Amino acid sequence: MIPCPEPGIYPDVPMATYLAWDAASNSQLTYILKSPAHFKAYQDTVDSFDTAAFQLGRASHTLLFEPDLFAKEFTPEPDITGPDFASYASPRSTKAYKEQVAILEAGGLTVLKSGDMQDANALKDAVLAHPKAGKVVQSTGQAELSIVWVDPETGVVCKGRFDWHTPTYAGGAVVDLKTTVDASPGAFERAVFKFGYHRKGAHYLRGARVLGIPTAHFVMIAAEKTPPYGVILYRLMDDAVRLGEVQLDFALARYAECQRTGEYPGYTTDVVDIGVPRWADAAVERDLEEQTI
Amino acid sequence: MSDSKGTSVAVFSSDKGFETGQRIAKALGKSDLVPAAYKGDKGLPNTLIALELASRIGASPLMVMQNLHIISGRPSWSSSFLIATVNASGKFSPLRFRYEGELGTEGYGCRAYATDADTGEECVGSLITMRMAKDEGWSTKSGSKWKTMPEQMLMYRAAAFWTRVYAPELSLGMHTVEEMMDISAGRASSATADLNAALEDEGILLAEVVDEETGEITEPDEPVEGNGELGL
Repeated sequence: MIPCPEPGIYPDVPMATYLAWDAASNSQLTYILKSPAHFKAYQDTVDSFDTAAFQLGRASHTLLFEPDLFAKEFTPEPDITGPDFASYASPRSTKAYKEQVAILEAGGLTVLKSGDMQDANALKDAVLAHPKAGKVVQSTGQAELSIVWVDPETGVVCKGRFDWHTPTYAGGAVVDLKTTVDASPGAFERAVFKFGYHRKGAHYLRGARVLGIPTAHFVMIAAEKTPPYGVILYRLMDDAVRLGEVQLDFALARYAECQRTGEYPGYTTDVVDIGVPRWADAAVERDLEEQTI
Repeated sequence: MSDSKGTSVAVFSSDKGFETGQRIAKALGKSDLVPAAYKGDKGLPNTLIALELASRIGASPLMVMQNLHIISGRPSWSSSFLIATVNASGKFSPLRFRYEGELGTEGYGCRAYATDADTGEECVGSLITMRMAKDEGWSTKSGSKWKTMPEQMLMYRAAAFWTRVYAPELSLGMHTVEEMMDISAGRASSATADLNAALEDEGILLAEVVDEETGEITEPDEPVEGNGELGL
């Protein structure tokens, strides 16, 4: 971790620098809701969370919001259909392939598999072709904007990073690109809760409010990462923001307490009741009703 | 200020009521039993409103807090609480329900009814049918409880309609949670509608350039790129 700058708006901060700032991000607060020990583990190993799914998301973000940086950060994998690898059944398992990838990665590049590269480009094109999503991301605004603020209730220093901010539409909007396997309302609603997008929206809207950044909406571009690359533009409803704020307040109070005491406890050491989720009764009943003897 | 039972506070009727209400709200806000929206200093304004509502309908503040939900930004009663409030009012016999039509058909429906305690008149509510649920779009949205528990929804809706015409002083003009969920489904909130309208307005797609001398509006040839303009 590195010291966080003073509260303010910081364009053009490299992602690695932003991640290293010692301040409460939405991701960290999400972990501290689970337990302070989980938060501490995340904080200590944040760089190792770059999974393949995350890489595709990052590539899509960069193509859409910072296309000039794409070639500096990403490169296609070695040509597995070329003469070096054509004779192998599993070219990515060969020593030669791994050596070539290692050389590219040593140069600071993220190596994207050919399928991922195609998906990232197709996803970007689908967003730009969407009549409203395309309009939002091409309006006056700023990409990858980092902000730092002090939470008025707890005094905790917080940080956030907008994929895109536009002051243009109906009071201004923070725009977040979400790559997903299913952008339909039913599925994405579950993703909002599962991944805490409602909390992220509440966190970012609060930061914008404290810093006086005109922002009336937290907007998510849900973009599917497989054909037909469906795109829907969602605005996080006020009820969901309120729910996020309730969780945020709890997380910030816990964060402040951990900072004060220097202690990061894990789960309870008591024996805890466990059952099945509330929906299980109805699910079992329905399943049995549908079966004939 | 207390009612005849000496339990409720009309928060907004006097300075004294407001002061008393704040003391009660602060105490309630420290309880683990009240929902999150009423906890702590942030929940104090909500608790004051809950106290006022409790006073108006003669219910316990805790009951109001546990049964008042915010759906699409508007306060809404849980249906069971609304029925309980009618039953406890003493103005009517307990609400009962009468089914009509054939189960499984669109004509299947339910009415709520009760007897006026003063006059003995039977007060019969509107017939709510599955056809109405379909035509109004209540039963057609994804995940609708009208598909999985139609009888319960018919009773809840019949009770809500009944209360609105025979005892509006108990519902205070508010809808039930189930009604608000049906109403809000498939309809964009006003803020989302504003955003949609703004995005449909071609005039602000690109940052317009206004010639200060002529007033002529021109559009740049290419979309404006990020330049740090936050409109601050």
